[in-house]
Amino acid sequence: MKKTLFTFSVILASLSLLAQTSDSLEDEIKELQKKAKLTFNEGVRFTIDEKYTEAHLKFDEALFLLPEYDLPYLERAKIKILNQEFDLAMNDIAKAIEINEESGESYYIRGYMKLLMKDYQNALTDFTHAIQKGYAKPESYYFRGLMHFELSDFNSALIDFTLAIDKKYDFAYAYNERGSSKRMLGDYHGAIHDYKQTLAYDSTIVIAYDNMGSCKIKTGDFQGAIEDYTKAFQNDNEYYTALNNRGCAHYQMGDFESALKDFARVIEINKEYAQAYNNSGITKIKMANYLGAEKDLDKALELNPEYAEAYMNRGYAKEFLGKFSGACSDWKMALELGIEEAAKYITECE
Amino acid sequence: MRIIKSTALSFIILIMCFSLSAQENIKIKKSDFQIDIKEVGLKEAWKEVKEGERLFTAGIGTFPDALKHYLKAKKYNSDCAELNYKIGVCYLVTDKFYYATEFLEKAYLKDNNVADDIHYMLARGYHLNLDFDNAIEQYKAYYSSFSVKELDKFEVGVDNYIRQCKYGKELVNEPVRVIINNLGERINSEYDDYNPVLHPNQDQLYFTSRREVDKKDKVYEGDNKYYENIFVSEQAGELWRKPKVLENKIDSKNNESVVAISADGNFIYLYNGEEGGGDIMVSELKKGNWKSPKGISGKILSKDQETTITFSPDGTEMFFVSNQNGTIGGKDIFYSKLNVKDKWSEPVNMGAAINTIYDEEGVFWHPKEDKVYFSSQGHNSMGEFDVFVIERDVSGMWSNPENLGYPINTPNDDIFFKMDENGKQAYYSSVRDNGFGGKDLYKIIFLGEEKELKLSQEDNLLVWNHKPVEKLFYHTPDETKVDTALYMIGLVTDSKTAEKIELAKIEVIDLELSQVIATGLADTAGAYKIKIPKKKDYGVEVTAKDYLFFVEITYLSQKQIVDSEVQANFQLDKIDVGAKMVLNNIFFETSKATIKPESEGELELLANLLIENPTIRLEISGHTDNVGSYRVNQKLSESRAKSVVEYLVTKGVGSSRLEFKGYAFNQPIADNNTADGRAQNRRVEFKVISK
Repeated sequence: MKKTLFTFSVILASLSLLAQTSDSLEDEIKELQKKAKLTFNEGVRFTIDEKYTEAHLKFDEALFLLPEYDLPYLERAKIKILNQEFDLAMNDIAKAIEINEESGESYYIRGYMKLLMKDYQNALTDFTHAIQKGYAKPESYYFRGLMHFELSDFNSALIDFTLAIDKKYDFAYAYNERGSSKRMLGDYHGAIHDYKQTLAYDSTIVIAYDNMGSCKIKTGDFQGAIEDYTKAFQNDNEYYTALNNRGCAHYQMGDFESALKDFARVIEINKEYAQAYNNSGITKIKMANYLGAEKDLDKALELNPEYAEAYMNRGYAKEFLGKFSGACSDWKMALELGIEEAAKYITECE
Repeated sequence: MRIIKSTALSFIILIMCFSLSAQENIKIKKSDFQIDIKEVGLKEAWKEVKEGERLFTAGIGTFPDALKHYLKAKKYNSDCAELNYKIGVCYLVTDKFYYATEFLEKAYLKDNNVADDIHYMLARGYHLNLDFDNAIEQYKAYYSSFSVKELDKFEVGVDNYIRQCKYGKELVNEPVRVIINNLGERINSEYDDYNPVLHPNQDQLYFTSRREVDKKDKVYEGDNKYYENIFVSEQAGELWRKPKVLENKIDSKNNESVVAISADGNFIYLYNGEEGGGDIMVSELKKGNWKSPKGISGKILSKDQETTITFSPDGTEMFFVSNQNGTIGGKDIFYSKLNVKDKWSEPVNMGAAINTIYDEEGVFWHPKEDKVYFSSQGHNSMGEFDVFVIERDVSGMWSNPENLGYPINTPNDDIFFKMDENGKQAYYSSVRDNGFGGKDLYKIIFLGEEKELKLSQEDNLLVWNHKPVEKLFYHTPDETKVDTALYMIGLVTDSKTAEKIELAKIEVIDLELSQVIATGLADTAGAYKIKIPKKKDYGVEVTAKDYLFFVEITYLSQKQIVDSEVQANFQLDKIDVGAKMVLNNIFFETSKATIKPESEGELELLANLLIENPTIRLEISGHTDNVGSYRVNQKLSESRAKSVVEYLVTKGVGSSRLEFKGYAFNQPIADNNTADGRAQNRRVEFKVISK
């Protein structure tokens, strides 16, 4: 804020010098500033109302009135980011930084854009700059935490999500992400606590149920996990991955009938979901239906020809069907795709 | 083909199924079999029963034939307890044993005392079908059905069966990784086929069968099955050719079976059912022909029975099975070794670690390793003969027997196991539910170590991968930087004189939240300015001294913003005698005078008007559209007006200040010919009648 006013003052001073300072010129500049600000405000209002085209025009207008005004550049950049016009957004952010290099928000916006572009390392740098320059909002820590997480630095992620929560106690997203950081660090009970907090503040975040279920599996509470997966699916009937995970829990409990039903339901919802065919396949293996298993695994591999685990599993089914050369070929594919334990199976079958 | 009375190798095994208790030959009485009144088909059915009974009585070997007749008789009466019992018992000794429980359960259901051994037969049925819990229950029930005096003779057998069931549960829970394939109809027959012996060259398969070879064949009286014959099949690629009966010198007139072939293929060992009560003979291959078999040299053979034999890979050691003197119980495994004089040493019983009080049988030494496979009814067998393995360590000690596990072993007989050189395949005989009848030959393919199946669980760890985060990302610029506030401005004036009304109170209501979100007062010039959060439609209530209140929705969303301001002016009616106002926000239940809760806001305003202006009197009037009779509408309109009055009285307004009237459809304010017009006509309004 201070910097922005300072920028206006500099412009004012420059113009004043050039024009041999006169009262009328000063008034004219002040009037121009006022108009630019009001136009900018109108643009912001359009943005709030999600009328981005009108907002964009207002920011253009504000910049026409006052070209060295950094805020319209940033607001315009935000609209371009929402429209995925990253190159154009980058130009606006660069211009804003050029006008006011101390603006933390510029780095925050650029960081977010890089996050969307999956350029996590540079996004992390930008969020750090934003925070250092005073743009230390809960979201700044949240997004930096995400970048740490994506770069597998779960300890740093944990710290940032905690900072975000410190600044905003009901920050549901941050609780979930902190839970996942704890989970990656093996603190399953801590993670479950955070997932519960997530849901307390925002019950629409169904993945918190899903995540809680996965943590409970790690602690051996399969029944609890099944209940959580069920809630996730009940709250979002399109969230079939929770159903897939519930099927996995049934499978791990040895309840193959229920597992098979879940995987079949997932396939009903999404016929292109290769994992469900894979899981259905191995469940059928457990139920000694090797032909059925082979068929399911064929489908999984048709949908995803690079699905290493499905090759491993199909090899297993083929072995039981006495198709030893086919099994061997599948294990070779699995090895090629990175499953090293397939090597010993190949030695065995050869 | 065989005519001499001798002991068959398979007979020794098969009778075990009924060793504990010979099945009871209960009689099916015609009176019990005959369905009341129904005579049609009785004659034919009874003929079948009688033939079934004859075959059943003849022995186990003809149980399958008896079954065919019983099943035909069942078409006449499927509820006869005795018949169902007999069918169940017959099924127990076939490879269709899984049908047995259905009939035995039905027999028991029809008559709990159908046979003394019904619990035993049910137990056998459950046991063979891997239903171990029910089997244990029935074995116990069977045991408890005997008197104390009788118990001793049954205790060991029942205990063993119960123990087998418990082992069975454990073994079934941890199946071994094998494929078990029936050798197919080319090799197997509807009769017992067993004891496979692979020639060391792997190109010939010898086995024993009790199938009928020609019409002259007679049956062995011990079990009423055809005598044993040796068959040999040649390998043809992955398959075996149709087997032929071995017709040469090794094929004697006795019951016999090939039990082993020496590693060099020059000696064939045979079980001969007649010699010495059952002995092992050997024949040498000379110039492509087998010589007449002779008894094995040394002290191996006894007056008792020797059945199977096997040799170490170097041929200097042997194991054989016998019930000769010195057994722990039944048939045991004995060991002998070639001495320096190249003679077989005195046989030694392998001891209690390997032999049990039950039978051991079908001994086989792995062609290359110090591993010996055999079958036993003891140890942790899950039922009848199971296959076990023992292994010799470097110190020469043999390990304890290890059960080869389910599904190689079953509660039925699994016996005569022969492993190939590389340990990947084996042959044996078993009774399984995909067989061709009786015992069949099977090939076992070992699948090596357990392989991990790969489950695909999906983790959506982070919210941001699942839900949009744009809302988190976007921050409205700080107020300190720019003022994004919006203001509602305007004038409050008198509706008739246009005079400015000062100090009018304006309340802005969020219609979605039903909450007052902003309040303002008009200044002395009647002007007001209220900060509102967003440009959208709001409800507005305006009140001022000496004026009727004003309620309406202001459609700000349709108005122009000029310099952060949206304009909305309001005109109020002065409180004068005759002044009227329609109460648009009072709602009733359909065709009733019951006021709905959502009317409370406007009624509160009306009550306040009366309280703040204590001298005024009002007439509250009800109005309807013109649908329906006048009488009904008049009554309804009056009731509704009265309800409003009653409400106001509860709020502290004196009833003397209020009158109510029902005008039905006599004072329309809109066209009753349109739905919209009729809606407007259905209303409550008030009129100032004095002040």
